[in-house]
Amino acid sequence: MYNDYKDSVDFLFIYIKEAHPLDKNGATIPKNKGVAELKDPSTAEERVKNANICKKSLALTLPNAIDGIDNKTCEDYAAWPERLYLIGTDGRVLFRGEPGPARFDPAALDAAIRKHVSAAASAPASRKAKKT
Amino acid sequence: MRANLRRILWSLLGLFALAAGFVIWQIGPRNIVGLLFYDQRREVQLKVGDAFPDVALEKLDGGEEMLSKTVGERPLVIVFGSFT
Repeated sequence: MYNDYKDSVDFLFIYIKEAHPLDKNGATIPKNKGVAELKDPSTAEERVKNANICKKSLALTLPNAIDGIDNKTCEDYAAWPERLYLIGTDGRVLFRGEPGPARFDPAALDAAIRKHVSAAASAPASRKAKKT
Repeated sequence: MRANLRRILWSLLGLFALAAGFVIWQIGPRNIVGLLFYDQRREVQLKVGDAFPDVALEKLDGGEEMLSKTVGERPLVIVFGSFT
């Protein structure tokens, strides 16, 4: 989706507090054992370090930013554990996704982009089969 | 008759315990605890049409930047998430 829309829409991945930090009774799910074992950080530096591990491990190509250690962004956007938003050029919320993972819905975001962003209307049809 | 009924009940209980044990083993005992006690979801106040909350964000290479610096020129998709 990023590759399909990046010429008309900006993207930003905001790293927020871990969904399953190792030290908060939320050990990694079995399929991630040995890979995704991150602790809940107590300093901004530790969170930045975790965010860099996340970016590298997931090979993220989106522009990245990180929530502060006070979790204000996460709170203001009710973002935990994962959520999608589309913000218009006037600063208004155009789309607010539901919290993941069960209700994380890139297809709904795709539809919102097509609805609100006229420049994206000509994006390739192949995007429908892809996920973020 | 009553003995048979008791045997069936014990068998069902055993099967249930086995199934529960399998589920806990699959998900991981700590994840069960995590699911019960580490749910950080919040009721969302932000609605479609609201102004975006401007927040200070850390950059991967250090430093801080306001989200508003990214908003305005083109529509912005924000993907919130973490590694685990």
